[in-house]
This record gives sequence, structure tokens and C-alpha cells, in this order.
Amino acid sequence: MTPERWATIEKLYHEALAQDAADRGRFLADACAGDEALRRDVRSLLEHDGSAAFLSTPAVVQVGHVIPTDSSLIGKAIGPYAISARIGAGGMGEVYRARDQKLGRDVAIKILSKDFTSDPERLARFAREARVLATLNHPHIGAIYGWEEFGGVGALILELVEGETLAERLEHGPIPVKEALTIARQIADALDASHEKGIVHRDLKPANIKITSDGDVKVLDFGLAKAASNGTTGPDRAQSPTITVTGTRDGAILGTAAYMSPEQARGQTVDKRTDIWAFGCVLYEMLTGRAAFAGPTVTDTLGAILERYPDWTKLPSATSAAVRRLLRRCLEKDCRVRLHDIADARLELDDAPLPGPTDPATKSGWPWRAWVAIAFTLAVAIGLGVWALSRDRRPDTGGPLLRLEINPPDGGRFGVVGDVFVRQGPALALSPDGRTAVYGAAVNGRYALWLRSLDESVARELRGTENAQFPFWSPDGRFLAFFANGKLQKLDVAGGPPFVICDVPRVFGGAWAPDDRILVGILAGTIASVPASGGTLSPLTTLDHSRGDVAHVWPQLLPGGRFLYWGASTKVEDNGVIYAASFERPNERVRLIASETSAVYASAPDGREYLLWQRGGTLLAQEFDTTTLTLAGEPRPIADAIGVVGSAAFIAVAASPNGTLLYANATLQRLTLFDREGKALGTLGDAGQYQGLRFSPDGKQVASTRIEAGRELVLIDVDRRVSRRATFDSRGGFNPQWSPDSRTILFMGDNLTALYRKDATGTAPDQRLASWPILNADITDWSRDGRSLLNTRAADETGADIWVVSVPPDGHLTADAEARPYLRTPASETAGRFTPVPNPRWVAYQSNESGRAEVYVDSFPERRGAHRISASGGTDPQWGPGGRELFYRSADGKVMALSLKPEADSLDPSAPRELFALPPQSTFEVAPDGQRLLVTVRDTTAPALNVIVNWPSLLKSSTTR
Amino acid sequence: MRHERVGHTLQASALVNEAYLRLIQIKQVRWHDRVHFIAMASRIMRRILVEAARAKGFHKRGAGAQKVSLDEALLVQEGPSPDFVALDMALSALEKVDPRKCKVVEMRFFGGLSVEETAEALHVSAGTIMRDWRLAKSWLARELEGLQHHDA
Repeated sequence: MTPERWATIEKLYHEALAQDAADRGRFLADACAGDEALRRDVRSLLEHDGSAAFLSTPAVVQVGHVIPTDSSLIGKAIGPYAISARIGAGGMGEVYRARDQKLGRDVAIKILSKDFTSDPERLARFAREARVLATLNHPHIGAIYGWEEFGGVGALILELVEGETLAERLEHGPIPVKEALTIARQIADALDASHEKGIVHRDLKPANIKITSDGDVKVLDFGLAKAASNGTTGPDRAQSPTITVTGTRDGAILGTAAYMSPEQARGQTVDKRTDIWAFGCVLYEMLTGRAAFAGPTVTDTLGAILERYPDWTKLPSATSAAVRRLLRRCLEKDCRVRLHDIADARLELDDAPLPGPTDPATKSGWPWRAWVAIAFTLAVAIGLGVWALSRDRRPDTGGPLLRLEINPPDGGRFGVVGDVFVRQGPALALSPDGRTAVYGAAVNGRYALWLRSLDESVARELRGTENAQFPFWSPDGRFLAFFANGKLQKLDVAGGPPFVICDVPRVFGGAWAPDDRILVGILAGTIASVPASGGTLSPLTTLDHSRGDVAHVWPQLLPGGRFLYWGASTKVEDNGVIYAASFERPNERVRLIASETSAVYASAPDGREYLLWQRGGTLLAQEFDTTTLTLAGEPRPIADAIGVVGSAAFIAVAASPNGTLLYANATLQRLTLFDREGKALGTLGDAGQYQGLRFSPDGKQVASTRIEAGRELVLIDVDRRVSRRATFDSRGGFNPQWSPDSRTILFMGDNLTALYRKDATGTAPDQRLASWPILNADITDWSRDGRSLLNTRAADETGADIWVVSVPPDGHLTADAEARPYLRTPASETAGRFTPVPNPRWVAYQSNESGRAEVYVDSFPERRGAHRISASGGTDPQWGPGGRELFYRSADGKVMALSLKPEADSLDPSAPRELFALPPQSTFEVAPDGQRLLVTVRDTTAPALNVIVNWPSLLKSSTTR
Repeated sequence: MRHERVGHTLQASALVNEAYLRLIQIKQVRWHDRVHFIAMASRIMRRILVEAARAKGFHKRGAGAQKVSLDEALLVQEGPSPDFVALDMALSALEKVDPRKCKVVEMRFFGGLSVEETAEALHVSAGTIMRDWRLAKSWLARELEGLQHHDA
């Protein structure tokens, strides 16, 4: 068949299909014009059209359903590794025996499970850790040869150690003392070598210790517990191997729990002393044939670890006094008095076996046992989103630290910590007794408050709380107050419909005083109060105009008839301040601390009081005396990456007086590259809260500010897709602008009050160029001839204006650098960008002069008349290569593009064309090639709500660590 | 009897090789890369499946040949699918007439790509892929029918 003939058949086939079925015969007869063979050919094809099921299920899907993955690898090759048998399975994945065909040796290969590899960040982190661990080289440590990825499959290449595990060996009973000590020495050697390198095993147990037929000991899986943990959610979650490694399989949990140190069981930071504890457990078990701490359930086991001592009478009589002493020193519950250095164990182990005394009786009673264990168990089953606490917490004792996570209701998600004005914004509150959490969650598009009692395993929706914001509790814990639909309302938690207390304007937060007054923070207003029984709002504070006050919001109650609030002012020094005042004299306020966001008052079970506030996304606690209204000591970090809404000065944190803390994680973004059609090409760097994106002119790097990570500047390598922190001690790195040669970056540091210069190619220290007024901090572009900056400056009379700052030839800008207004009108002009050419002739910007934000282009250096570019709303203009194209965001959130002729005075702009819709609340930056767009896409994984029980103990542990 | 064979088919056949493993796991890979990988691998996939079917004698020339298809052997209930060996022959014939349509079938049926993904891989519009797909299916159905008559 000729191609022409086939083309004709194809054309007629589709044309005939476009006809009504009844007309097709006639159509074909006409179209074929007597070519009977052609007509028959097309007709027979048409007759075979429409078999919907034919080829409908892809072959790969059909087969994929039935191939069991656990056996799928045997007899296959992955890279150079020919897999011959399955050795075992763990939480991280399957382990196979394989032959490295390149190096001609047998290895063990751990293929990471899917839920592991589906998280690229976790995978990348694991790969990094694995490479560090691969540097461990010791005869008694099972070597990690390396980490390999094959088409999305992650695999850890391990030394293949033949022989039985110590756990298998112990199934046959205790090990003779002499042999046990020989094994113990080798384990101690292995630990000593790894501790020397700063690597903690974290999951030492008999199942991880292999004994070869020659009696040689190999300790396996060094550090993998930490490597495998999900390190993105908190500093201490990586400490516990069980939670992340073995998942929810009870046997495995039990198997690991028995060797956990008390600090691990409490979720505290661990160090090498945790390995020493586990070493003691293993030695005890070798000598006695029974676990040092064991129980029928995880609960009992953890209770034993925290509260009981091993039964020393079970040690064989041949155990020397030195070994008994060693065991006791290894199994000290307080890690500060535990054996510090495993090398010391060698000395004791070398002593000759001698009979020794027995130990005092065990202690009884475990006040924390039940709920520590329950909480632990549930933390293990974090996926279920279940949590619990004891009913009989005694407020006068500290108790162990616990971290728990609350998951959204089934099929739902928490409110977005991105914008407090969106109806589904953040909402969380903790009852005064710390036993009940309330939080906003959307299920099936319906957003309401949900209540979870700590004694129960499920949450329930609170009826009548749809679209409620900023909930808070009555002091007696009976009522919950919240704002919804322009009204302040209260709800009896036990049941019944909500009661409207009063109408409210837009509000920022509320608090319920013991005298049944409710305080409300009014946006662009002051703190006002209303009786909880109903009434009208009356102002409590007044704005201090002499200090430039513009708002008093986010009230919090303090003891003794006082309250605190966050105040905003136009004065730089009072830009954001936490104030305290009394109900009696509400306008005699005490300035507590400058803070960009609100603060939370928290008292601890031991009677100490704290102010909780945040800096750079880190929640800080500072001792706070509410009688003298003074802060004492240094603020100390208690949680990272907490939910903050900078624009509203809001922190998503709630505290109860018994030391329980509830907070939301920051909603993170992924920097995602898109092509012009809106197809995602991949992500760059880590998930974070990014502000300001700037490509280097050579397109190789992106500079941005990680708001949640200390507000530091980060540089992202576009090809390698990795990011590195670029500022360390400049107190934030904002509004980066690249020099034309992509070698230097100007940015704002010192909390937006100074201009810095950074060498982007090397490690030269950053250079502080000049103090820079905070109101002028918004530098939006650096021209490609290096001579000018565009700088948005705020003025009382003319709003935001665009200025041009001249850069001296040596680049050394000073505070008195020559600057001239480029666009100064009563409207607000912002977001100026030069055409990206050596002699820029144009500036694109946005202005609200028409009543809404539109994109304009005007000539440069002198304005000769603005060309309006966007038709119905536009922001964030950016140029394509050579200034021949302009991109912007339309009012409905789409990236628009149009072509221009920068050499023509008329510009000759084409009609804007839609490229693609941006994700909600995203920002974008066009790459210098004009072909790719970098977009901040909100991480779709639901942000978690976190609970820390007994958070004040974090402060103690940080001093004794 | 046929069902006893199933286990053997699954465990021993050449289906489960590295390429196949990758096809299953590749869902983790970035979309763009995935499309291009599968586009390349769909030909391999076709060969693997056809070889497997041929090795197991699922295609027997003569009466009743069309009754035994691979997916039936795999106990998959979702919709009928053709004798893989016959389909392979028909596809080879289609390739001579219109190579792109053959590729579309390989990518969609053997590789499991969506219309959009196939369009991405072949650098044509989704509409073109849909038209190709429809015509190719008609053409193959006709060809398979012909093969069957020929066999019988």
C-alpha cells in the first residue's frame, strides 16, 4: 500500500466517523467515487470500530496485578547485581543475596520499599546518610558498600555476612560466660570504632548481630535507624528506631522496644550512651538467656525500661564482679551517670570471671508506664493518627517528654497555614486541662472545627462550626468560642447549638478571661472586650498614635488580671511588639519583646511561666515572670518549622498550663520547574517556605529565602537540583539580586535593615555594604549592565513608588548611594523589572492606578509614557530573553505571555496568551531562557498537627545534654 | 490444568526481568522521564509478553487458538484481550503500513501510557493520538479477525 493510499483511507475513516452512522454508507460511496476497493477497505475498518474493551486494559497493568513483588527479583539483575535469593525483610524493604558481577563478590542488597522510595526527599536523605555510613570500615561491623539507584529503585549494597544472628543463637538459651564475653568484646570494639566516627547505632539488638561459623561477630545496620527516619518533621523523631523502621508490626516493635534506652523511649535526643544501654541489654541477655527488660506487650516492656531494674539474680554465678558492675553501669536509667565510653567496657570484660554479689530488689510502681506506653504505641502507629494521654497526670511532676502527631480526619485535611483570611485557614486550640484539642479540618470540602478528646481515639466534628476561625476555650473548659460568618460565637462542648455573643468585624484572635469577659483582637483596630453572655464590643486598648500604632491583635490572657497582645506600628522599632497590660490600666502597657508574630503565654507544671514566640519558624520559649512582667534568660528553641502566617503575624501554637503544647507544622512548598505548557519537569532543592525567587542571569542557579529555616538565603543548583544554605550570620537573607555575571548577589540582611554583598562562587564572607532603611528593603531588580537597582520604596503620601538606585562601578553601594524616583504617583507601583539586556530600555512593573493591579511597561532611563500590558488584572511582570517576551500573572492566577518588540518605541505588544494556571498561593519566576518557569507549589502532603506533652522538659534536657 | 500452569508462568517466565521491574517501579520517577522511559521500554515489554505467551504455547495454530489469551491465564477479569502472539503479528503488519500507529499501540497497550503521555513521547497532539489509537484498533481488530480466519 502506498503512503498516499493509506493517507486517503485514514482521512476517509475519520471523516466517515464524524458522520451520523446512517449517513456513512452514502458518504463513503460519494467520497470514493467509484474506487470500490477503497470503499471496501474503509468500510471494513469502520465495521471494526468501537470495540471499547479491545486493548482497553494495558498489558502492563494486567500483569502487574498478579506478580508478587517479593519474589519478583530472584533470578534477575539490578545493575551489576544478580539476585539469587531472598534473605529477609525489614521495615525498610527486602534483603536479597546477590552477586556483584563487576567486582565478583557476593553481597547483600536491601531494596527499599515503595513507601520509602516514593518520598524523594526522604530517599535523598537516606542516600546521603548511607554514604556517610559507608565510611565505617571495621572487622566487626557489617560494611555498607554503597548506595545505588536503578530507575527509581533505591538499593543499599551491604556486606554479605554468613552465619546466624545472635537472636537465633539465643533461642537455644544462654551463652556460656566465656563465649558471651568474647562476643561482647567484639561488639564493644565495633561500637568503639563507630562512636569514634561519631556514628551511633541506635538500634543495637541481637537480631542485628551476626556470628559467623568462625565465631567472628559482625554488627549490622549501623546508623540505619537514623538514616531511615523521616527527618523532616522534627529534630528528635529520628532518635527512635522503632517508630520509623519497623512500622506497625507488633512483633517487630516488641523486638526492638526491649533494647530501647529510657531516653529513646521518651523520644529524647540520643547519643552513644543509647548504644551503651543496648550493649548492656545484649550482654545481660547472652548471660541469662532472657531479655533484660521484657513484657508481654510493648506497654509492659517500656514500663520496665523506664521503671524497673533487670533481675540481677538471674546472672550465672560465674559472672565476675567486674562484669556485674559493667552491666549495672551500662543499664543506668539516667544517661548522665551511665558508662560514658564503650572503650571502658573492654577493661571490665577482660577481668577474670568471679562470683559477685546480687543486687537490691527492684522498684515497683510505674506512674508513667501506662500512658507512656500507650502514647508510644500510638506514635508508632502514627499513620492512624491516634493519640492518647493518661487521665491521672499529676500537674506537679515533670514526667517524660512525648511527641505525638494528630492526623486529619479520614479523607480530610487541616486548615491551610498560609493565609488567615482564607476561609479554611489555620485553627487550633487546647483545652485548659490540656486534654482536648480542637482544630479546623476540611472533609469533602466542608471546613469545620473538630474536637479530639485525649481519652478517645477519634475526633468528632463540632456541629455549627462551619468555617470557624481562631477557636479558644473558656477557662472552665466547658465552652469553646470562635469566629464565623462575622460573629463571635460560643458552643457548649457537651452539646447544643452555638450561641452568638456579638457581631464582630474582621478579627485576629480572641481570649476568654476568668471574669467571663472575652477579649477580641480587631484587625486594624485594638483589643476590645465583650461579656461572654452576650453584648457589644467595647474597646479595651487604644492605639498610641504617637508611637505609630496601627493594630493591637492576638490577645492572650495572663494571670492576675492581665493580658498580652501583639501590636503593629509604622515605626520601625515598634514594627511588631509583644505588649502586656492589665485590665485596670489597659493603656499602660509594658513592652515585652520585639517579635514579627504573636506570642503565646504558657505556664508549666512546676509553676514556671514562659512566653512562647517564634523567630525564623523556630518556636522559642523564654522564662517570663507575669507578676513583674519581665522576661528572663535566653529564649530556647522547642520546635522547628512551626506554622506561621507572617502577613498576619500569626503563629499556629496553643498551650495548656500542664505543659502540653499543640502546634501546626509550616506548610511547605516545593520549587517545581514547569515548561510553558504547564507540565511539571521536576523539583529543585528541599521543601521549604520560599520567598523571592531569582534565577542567576546564566540560568544555572536560583537564589531564594527559606523563611522557615532561619530566613536564610539559599542557592539552588538548577542542573543538580540541590540547594545549599548561603547565609549563616547575616540575620536573614532577603530579596536577592544577581550581578550580570552571575557571580555576586546583593541581598538584605540584618532583619531587612542592611544591604549585603555575597560572593556566589566561593566562600568569601559576606560583605555588609550599608545600613538600609527597612521601608526601602524591597529591591526588585539589578540591571544587566550592573549600574542600576530597582527599589520599591514606601511613602506616606504616594504609597509604594519605584526608585532607581545607582550602583557605583566598584559595586560598593552605600547608604547615601544616588537614588532617584522613577515612578512616584499616588498609586502604588511595585515589582519593577528591567529588560534583561546590557542596556535596558524598558521597565515592567505593576500598578494599581486603574483601581486594580495591572502590568505596565515604561521606557528607561526616562519615562516616556506607560504601555498597559495586562487586560484584566495582572501582577508579577517578568521578561523573557532579550525583552522580546513578557510574562505576568493574571487576576485569576494564570501565567500569561505576550511578545513585544523592545527595539520599537511602540513596543508592539501582542495579545496576552495563557500559558497555564498557577497552583493556589504560588509565586513564579521565569528562567532566563524563557522556556521554563519555577513555581512554588504547596507540598500536598497534609501538614501535621503536633503535640508535645511536657514540653518544658525540653528546656531541661537541653541544659544537660 | 490451565490454572496449574499459571504459577509457573508467573514465576519462571522471562516476564519478570529488569525491564519489567523498572516498569512497575517507574511510577516513582519524574513524569517526564517516566514517559520517555516507558516509551522506549514498551517495545521490550511487547517482546517479553509475546515471548512468554509463545513459550507457554498459548498461541496454538489451529482450532481454538484464540481462546487462550495471556491475561486469561493470569486470571485477570478486566475485559478481553487478544492472543498476544497474534496481536504481535498484526502489529508487525501495521508497522509496515503506519509505524506511528504501531508505536501508539505499543505505548498505550504494552507500556500503559495515557493518551497525554503518549502524545508527549511522540511529540504530537493528544487529538492525533486519539485518532491514531482509534484507527489502529479498528485496523488491528480487522487484522486479527483475518488471521483467525486464515488459521482456521
